[in-house]
Amino acid sequence: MDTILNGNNIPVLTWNHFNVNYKQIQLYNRPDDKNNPVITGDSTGMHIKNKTSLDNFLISGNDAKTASYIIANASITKTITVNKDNSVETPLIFDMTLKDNDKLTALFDIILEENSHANIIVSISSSANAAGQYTDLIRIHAKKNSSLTFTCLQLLGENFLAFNNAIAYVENDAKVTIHHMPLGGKTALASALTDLHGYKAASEIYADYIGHSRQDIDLNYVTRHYGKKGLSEIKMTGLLLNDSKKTARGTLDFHHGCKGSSGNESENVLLLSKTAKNKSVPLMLCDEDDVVGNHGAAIGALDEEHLFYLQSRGIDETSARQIFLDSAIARLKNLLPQNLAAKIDTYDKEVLCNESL
Amino acid sequence: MSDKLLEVKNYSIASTDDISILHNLNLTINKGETHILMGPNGAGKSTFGSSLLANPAYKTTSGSILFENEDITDLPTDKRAKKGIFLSFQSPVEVPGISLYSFLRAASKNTANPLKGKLFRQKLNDTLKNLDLKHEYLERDLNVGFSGGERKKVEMLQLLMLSPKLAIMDETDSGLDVDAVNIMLRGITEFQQDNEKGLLIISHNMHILDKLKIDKVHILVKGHIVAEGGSELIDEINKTGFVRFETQEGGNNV
Amino acid sequence: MSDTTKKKTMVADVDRNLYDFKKAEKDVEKLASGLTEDIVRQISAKKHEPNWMLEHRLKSLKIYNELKVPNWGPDITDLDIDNIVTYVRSKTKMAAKWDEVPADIKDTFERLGIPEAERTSLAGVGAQYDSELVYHNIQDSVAKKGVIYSGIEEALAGPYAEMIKQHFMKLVPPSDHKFAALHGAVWSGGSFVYVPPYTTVDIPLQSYFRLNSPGAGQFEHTLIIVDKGAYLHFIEGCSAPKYNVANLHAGCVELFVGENAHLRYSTIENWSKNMYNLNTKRAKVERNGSMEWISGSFGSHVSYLYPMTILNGEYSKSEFTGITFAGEGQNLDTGTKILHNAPHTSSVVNTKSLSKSGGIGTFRSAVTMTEKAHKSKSSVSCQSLMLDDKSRSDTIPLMDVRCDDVNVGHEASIGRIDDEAVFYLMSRGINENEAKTLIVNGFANPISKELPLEYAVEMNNLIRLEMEGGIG
Repeated sequence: MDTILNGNNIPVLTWNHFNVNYKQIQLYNRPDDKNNPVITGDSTGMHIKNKTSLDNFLISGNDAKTASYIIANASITKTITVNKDNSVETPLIFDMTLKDNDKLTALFDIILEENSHANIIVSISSSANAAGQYTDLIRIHAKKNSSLTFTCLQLLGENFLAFNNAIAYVENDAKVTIHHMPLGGKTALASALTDLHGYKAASEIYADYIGHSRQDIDLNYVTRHYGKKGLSEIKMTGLLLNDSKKTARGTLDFHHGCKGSSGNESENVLLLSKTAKNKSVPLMLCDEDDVVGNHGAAIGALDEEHLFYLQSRGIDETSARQIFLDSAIARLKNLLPQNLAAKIDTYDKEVLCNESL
Repeated sequence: MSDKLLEVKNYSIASTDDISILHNLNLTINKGETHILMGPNGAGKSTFGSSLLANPAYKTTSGSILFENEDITDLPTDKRAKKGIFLSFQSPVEVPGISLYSFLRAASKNTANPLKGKLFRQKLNDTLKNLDLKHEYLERDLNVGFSGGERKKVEMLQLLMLSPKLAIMDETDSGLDVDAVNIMLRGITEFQQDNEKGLLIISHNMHILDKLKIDKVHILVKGHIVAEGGSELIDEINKTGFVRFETQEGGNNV
Repeated sequence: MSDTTKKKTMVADVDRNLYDFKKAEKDVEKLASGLTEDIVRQISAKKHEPNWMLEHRLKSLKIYNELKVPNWGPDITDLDIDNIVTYVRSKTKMAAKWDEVPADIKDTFERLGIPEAERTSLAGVGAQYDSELVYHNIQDSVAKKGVIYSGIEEALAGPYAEMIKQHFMKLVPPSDHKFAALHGAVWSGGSFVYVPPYTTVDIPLQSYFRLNSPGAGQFEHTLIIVDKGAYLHFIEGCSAPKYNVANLHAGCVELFVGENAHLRYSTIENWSKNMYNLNTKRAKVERNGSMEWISGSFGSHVSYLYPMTILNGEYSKSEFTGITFAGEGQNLDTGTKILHNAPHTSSVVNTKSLSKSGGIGTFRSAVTMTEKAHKSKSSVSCQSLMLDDKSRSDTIPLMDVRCDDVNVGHEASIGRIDDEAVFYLMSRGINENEAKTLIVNGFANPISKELPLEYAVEMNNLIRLEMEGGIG
């Protein structure tokens, strides 16, 4: 018996016939296959243990069922505690490689003590044509004046279902940056929820994707402003190739009392194929007058003005498409340490079959 | 006449909705020459520059454009660029999703003598330094969030990297501070060193012009070239503006 | 600071005295509350309508009973359909002269300024009172051009019966949603307009809807066909006195815009705050045609209102300009839907939303680019202004793009009145409330300038009244 659930629920419903209110998925109930994450990078001043710590930590997200499934199934459980006043620039990397037909569920708790700063990357990959299922939940508690950059690189095979979830509780003057790269998988879901409770709490959520073949990408990002003078950014950027499709929900939710807060949401989608499909639902919910909220979205092909500029430099339309793809790959590589950037090169060659670089 | 670079003959253009903009222009730029195109706002100067690269917003209604004695009137934008024509945009377009570096690499592959690997990076580093541009600009999306001055410098960076045969510079110095103008002047002077190359500067602003070697000045008013001459025309306009030319053109029309 | 806050909380309710006057019900026949097949048959029988219409009503009733209320949007659980008297009719014949309209009804429309407007600035007027049209007239010069403007029920018995049959509820089928089905079952009254090819109607036609009876529903049907190359501006106004029981408005507007034709459709909706406004409006535009919506939503307790444009022919265009003002006790869910279903189509949406005194304003939209929408463009811009910290404003846009060579843009912003702008105006000697009123009027100005003058004046007065309440 599999579990069927509605993931990526939109915080406020809209017309049903557009099929954007949630994404229904089917998940295995069999036990996980064994996997040992390879831990590299700098863990100075951090404490890692193989069990969870934030079980009683309440963040009511939109996806309680997804969370319960992951908590019940997780075979990998970790807590990473970053000590008070500890600051590490170089990333700490958890690298999981899955085999064909693997099922894996991971639950990570990340606690940032006061004035601590960390950079943590979770990378999940498999061979290019593998099948299987990977789900995870990252719970983040950022205490006073701490900051975290969390990156999730998902490079699973073309028959995988992947679902990355992150939730963060952000206190006074703390800042959490979540960067999702749901690049692999046949069905790639990703969600993040940041709750800005503290004064001047901040979050940034970035998602970068390259839809290819028949990939189905489904994103759900929410920032909830509770504290005063919060600052938030949600930015989704991607290209859609071949028969890929993508649904993106982004929500800025200003709660009563979050005076002086400011949120910004933007989406940029470049459609590089006649058969690619895109849905975007950028929500802004506002129960407070003293806020500034903006969102913008641009979806489409290269417009004529852009094309003329590129052509005036001798670049024809086909090459223009190519450099958009190359730029996207290069940008992602720049954000990652060398060994993970190498995985992007492999993905570029084996999955996107892009030989140009 | 093997030293002709650009020859525009009886050239008229209109917008795509058939409003005529330029009327019967004739203009020849030889190798090694620098020409200035001046005129009041709305005269059609930028339109002319942009149409030399076949901007799809305009269509040619008569006449022809020859580049190195080859008729390029029917060539699309990218083919003209590959022949060695470069347009420095008055307002360079923001292109999110393409980094400046990827763009420069792609564009330089199309030039007559593309630089490879180390040589490319070497020249890029030198040019960046010369233009006082920071290295990190290369990773940013093309023109996105760049200030007016930065955009102009990035246009100059492209000009020097691509090393075209003919450069058309549209209002290169407008909106720049003194330091930036001097940097742009350095770039233009560097480009002028090669006497195989030609330059067409579009301007209604004189600051930059008195420091450059100039071969010919054309005055464009309401889509007509109404006067041509040497740099003495610039001095006249500095003193009295375009009034004489405008009334002259108005007289023609009546 | 605290002074300002205090003022804000004291913003008074809109002065609706202009609209809030009741007429005693006399000489009326009412059908029993609730909705049964019997009631539907009775409505149909009274109207002596063709048999296909009765079948349509019964089919709609069946769909109505099968469909659920929407699971999204404002709460409507307080709306109990069994308490809606679906059919209320004054025992009077439709008149073509105001003198023939019963005195109390005529007085109503006099107070709303309708006959005055007809004399000065309109080509034709239709007036509906509860379920039936009480007045319909068109200027001779316009009628001579072959323009038809009449009650839809009247037209159903005339030479245009076949044309109506071909178009009636074809754009908004009863299966569209529960309240479209309700409309299909119990619709009554409304206007029919036909503008022949290449005919320009220089001055607007106007229909005014007035719901007087407490606990009643109004279900008028408006069908407008603008044939190729023709032009029409149609204005719709609505109001009702306030009662303590819920009133329901589930009208339906179907607009057919032919090749190269242009239709401008303006609405100022000012229903009282006990009204559930579940109205459906839809336009289909053929090749090179253009549809313009001007929509002002000020009244109602709850609104679900999303005029939709189907761009069905190449180079067809749609422009939607809307403003919604949600005050105390109001939950107004408004916006638009656009379906780009042909190449080179374009749409522009510009909306403004204001929320105050606990009002909830929601902007909801959907832009769809089908596989056929090559080289089409859409741009949506919505701005929300929060006038105090008790109110709410949500933005829920949706973009569904199934074609690559298109451009779809969306931008939205939310915020309150800019303190610096207030400071700037005050530094020039303008007092705080006046400064804020100026700013709010400036915010609404791009919309009000699209309205016919008398409506623009009315809208600015409404805003001024709201803002002046702050001095209290």
